[in-house]
Amino acid sequence: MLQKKICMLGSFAVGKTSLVRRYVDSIFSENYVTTIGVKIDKKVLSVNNTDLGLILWDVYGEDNHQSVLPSYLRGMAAYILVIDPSRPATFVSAKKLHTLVLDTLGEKPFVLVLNKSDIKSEWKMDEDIFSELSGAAIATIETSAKTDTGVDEVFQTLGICFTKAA
Amino acid sequence: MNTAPETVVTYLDELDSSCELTGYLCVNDDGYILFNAGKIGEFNFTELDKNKSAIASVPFLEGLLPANSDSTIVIGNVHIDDNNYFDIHLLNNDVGYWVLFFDTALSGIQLQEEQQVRLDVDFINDKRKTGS
Repeated sequence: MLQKKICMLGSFAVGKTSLVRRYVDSIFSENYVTTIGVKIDKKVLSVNNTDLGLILWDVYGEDNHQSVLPSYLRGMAAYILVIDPSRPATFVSAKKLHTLVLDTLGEKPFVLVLNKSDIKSEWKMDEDIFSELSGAAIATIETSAKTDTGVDEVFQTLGICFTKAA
Repeated sequence: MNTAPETVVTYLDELDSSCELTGYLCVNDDGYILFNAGKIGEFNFTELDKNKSAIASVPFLEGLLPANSDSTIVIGNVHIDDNNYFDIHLLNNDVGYWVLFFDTALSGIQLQEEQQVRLDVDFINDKRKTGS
């Protein structure tokens, strides 16, 4: 079976873990539990009758005290770059992480995720960064792990990308 | 693991850490297991099938092998089960590509608790700044 390592990248508390929990376990919790290091999960996705194993690396979020280390990106086939548009600082973190990937591995396919669409009235878009990242991404998807909106689409989009390339 | 290969024993002697080694794998260029022992969570490395590639037996190693780097690569606080933290050290030599697993459960739990407090405050401040 084809297997790919996918990294979840983004600032702290943008919902990376919630997206994985929703996708892998179909659950959501309002409680924010911070991730240290990396939590690894596996999910088998079927795309055009082809099974694809996604090894999901839910990497700790960037914050004021720590940056993501390049060693966590090793062997990554693609990534999901998550922003919480209700916190404009998370656009800046996303841009920094995108640059880290480019500097470490070169161009890799990624899906840009605008999470927490259930509180869209609170969104304050950084249009410059959004435009730049969205232009580089293979897709930009609005999601809510809370309401289960757009979550499957994110991973399905990467799956289609991989099976086309295989 | 008293009968660990020389590479592992030498690496542990030179390592500036008190973390406990809980398992190791050594694979060849084709990704097949040469040496294996120990366990992490549900993965009992001692019982791995040497007729299968290491990645087929331990899927979370996808992308990490072959570990062809001039220097040791460390990936800290990996967890596949809640609170079961471990560090992965990747190195290589003439024998093969080595993956060493170190138990960091206690320090990981403590770090998680400290980070939780700090980021709870940072999150509140972030939201206050945006008026949401």
